[in-house]
Amino acid sequence: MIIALIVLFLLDVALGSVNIPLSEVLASFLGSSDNEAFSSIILKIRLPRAITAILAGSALSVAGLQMQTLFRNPLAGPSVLGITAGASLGVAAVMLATGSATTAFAIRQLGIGGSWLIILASTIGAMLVLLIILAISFKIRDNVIMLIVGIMVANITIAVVSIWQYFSDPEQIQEYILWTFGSLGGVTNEQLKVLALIIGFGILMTFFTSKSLNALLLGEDYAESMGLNIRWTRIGIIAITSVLAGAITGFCGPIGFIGIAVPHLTRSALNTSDHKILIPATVLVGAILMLFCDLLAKVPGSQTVLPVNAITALVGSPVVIWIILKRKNLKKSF
Amino acid sequence: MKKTENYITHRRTVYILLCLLIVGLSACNPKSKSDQQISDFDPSKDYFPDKLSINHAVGFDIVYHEHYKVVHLFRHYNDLVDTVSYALVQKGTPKPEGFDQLHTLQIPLQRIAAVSTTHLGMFEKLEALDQLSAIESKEYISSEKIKALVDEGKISELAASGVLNVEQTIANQTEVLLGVGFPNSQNDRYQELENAGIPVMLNADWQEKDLLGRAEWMKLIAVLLNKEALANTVFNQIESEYNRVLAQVQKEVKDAPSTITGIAQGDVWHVVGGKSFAMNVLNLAKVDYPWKSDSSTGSLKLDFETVYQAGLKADYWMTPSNAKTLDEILLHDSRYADFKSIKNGNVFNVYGRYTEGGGNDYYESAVVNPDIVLKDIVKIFHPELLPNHQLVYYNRLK
Repeated sequence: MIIALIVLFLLDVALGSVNIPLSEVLASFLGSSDNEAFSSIILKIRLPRAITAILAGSALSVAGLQMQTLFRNPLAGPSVLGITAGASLGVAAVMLATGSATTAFAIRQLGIGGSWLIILASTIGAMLVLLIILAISFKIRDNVIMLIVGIMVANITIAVVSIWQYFSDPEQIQEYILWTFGSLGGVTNEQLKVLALIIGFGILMTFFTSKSLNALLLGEDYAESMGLNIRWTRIGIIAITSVLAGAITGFCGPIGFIGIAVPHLTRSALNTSDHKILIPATVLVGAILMLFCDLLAKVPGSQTVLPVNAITALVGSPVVIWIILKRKNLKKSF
Repeated sequence: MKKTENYITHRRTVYILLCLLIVGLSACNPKSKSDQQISDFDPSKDYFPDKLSINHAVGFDIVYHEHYKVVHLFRHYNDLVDTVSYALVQKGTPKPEGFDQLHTLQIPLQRIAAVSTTHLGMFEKLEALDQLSAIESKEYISSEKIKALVDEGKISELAASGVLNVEQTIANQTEVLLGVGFPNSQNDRYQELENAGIPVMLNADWQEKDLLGRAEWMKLIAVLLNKEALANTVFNQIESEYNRVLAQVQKEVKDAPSTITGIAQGDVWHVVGGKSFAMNVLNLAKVDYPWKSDSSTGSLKLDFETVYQAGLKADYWMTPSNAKTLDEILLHDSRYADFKSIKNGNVFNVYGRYTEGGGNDYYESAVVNPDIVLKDIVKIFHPELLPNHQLVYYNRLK
């Protein structure tokens, strides 16, 4: 799998709309390229994009895995807690209100603009929803209720966004809709450092939860009898998921499907439900699938590009269906 | 005998009274004369001695008859091509056959609602602000004159919240609403208005191929107001100034600087198509463009790195979406700093006459000033040609 990851990573860097010979790609890496345009494209566009794909793929997949185990529900994903919707609300607030609302003007006056503003807004949006969810999770023990509350919170935020859209100019709506398509290419090198730090930390924290997740799979009562503090475990898992999903949504937009599909894919392929194996494997499979989808979205050789969000579902769904039907071992995992 | 005399006196009194009444009535109603109401209709008389001809616009046409005009609006912005025709009948003359109530208008009109900012400059040019009864919203307009009239209550706002208020439009005694003919734009609202008996003329000036074509839509407003003579004078003046600058470019420009357009949104970068209106404007100033041989009339959807490669070398960068400063562009994405146009400060946008509230005169008076728009473009790409011209609608980003 690691080999597949490396091959796809190199392919993703080497292929794109602009036809760059392989020798130039290598020269750019080594810093010996004479062609400034080519080396800029490789180092400033394709490399950050490929790394972003890896981060997004692994973060969303791991977040999805945690949610599926926590809620013991195969339909759960990083978006079920309403975190993605919260991020969308934040972005909508900025994109659909700029020009008219004084608040957005005030923010611009502070010198935060463009992409950082969007990232900040979506992080705040995701955080807000996260705080609501956490507050509720302190009170409620039942995971099924938690799941429903998450979905309801998501619906409320979506409704607010849709009212906002109704009263907005077509150009502003277009900008917002483009954001919802998801984008891996908008992350520049300096933003990538921040993103990598957050995601790296989040995934590291996930590894520490593997034991608790395994225990949770056997039932909450059993887990409790093993000395696990259910409440704090749950809060910890929700917090990690929120950070992972919130950060990716902030930087790349709402990327769907990966989070729900990759855990199934990994579980079925490895035929295990041990999280000590599942977590690292999910990280790898998520990264591989995301790189592969990005490669397709770029439509190498053409001058155009497809929305990555559509590609993930279009390519991923048949694969998941095929594997699940073939193995028929889904039930065992929950 | 006495009886007869009495009778005559009586009749005389009636006559005098009648005369007084008529004189009194006509004195009380001086409007009938200024309204050009024609009481004795003469079918062979040409009621419109001044006529307009449409030479640039492709979206509409005017046909003159003795006492009425027919306006044809052509819709071809979606797959369905169709023509809507209106009879504009001189007040006081009979209605021609073949037009239903909704498509028959009594001209000159007195209360026109115009919901596109591109119409507003036309009303000003035609000195017809008295006939402009309503606009969409004050918030997005630049004209100080019109803003003042809105504040005085002489012009109403029909869509202050962004959505056209149908009831208010009816209550405002609108004779005709000049709508914007985008595919599916507020179409249900327009339908409601038409059901209520208010005709909606869909104006599609945005789909014209060139600057003069867009400006020529002022003639549509002129025919509604019987202002043909003025429209001819104004338009011919614009046209000749426009052609003068164009001839100068043809004669004196040798080199073609290159440019890119638009700005990336996510992974996609929309650039103007090779047959688009924006490209047409660039062509006038003999500008080189990486996708000039492209055949699309709208925009092209390209991958970021494709345009990035072109942007590294391009001399100019035109209309980077809604960016108003160079810092704003760089905050959007720091990779833009590599562009030659950014390094040389040759980035231009259409915020030369932008008001804090969000109004932009580029979408307002620029439509009826194609000569000034052309001069702006020529000034940007060939500053030596027009040393005395100052940019009006375009601005250099700092």
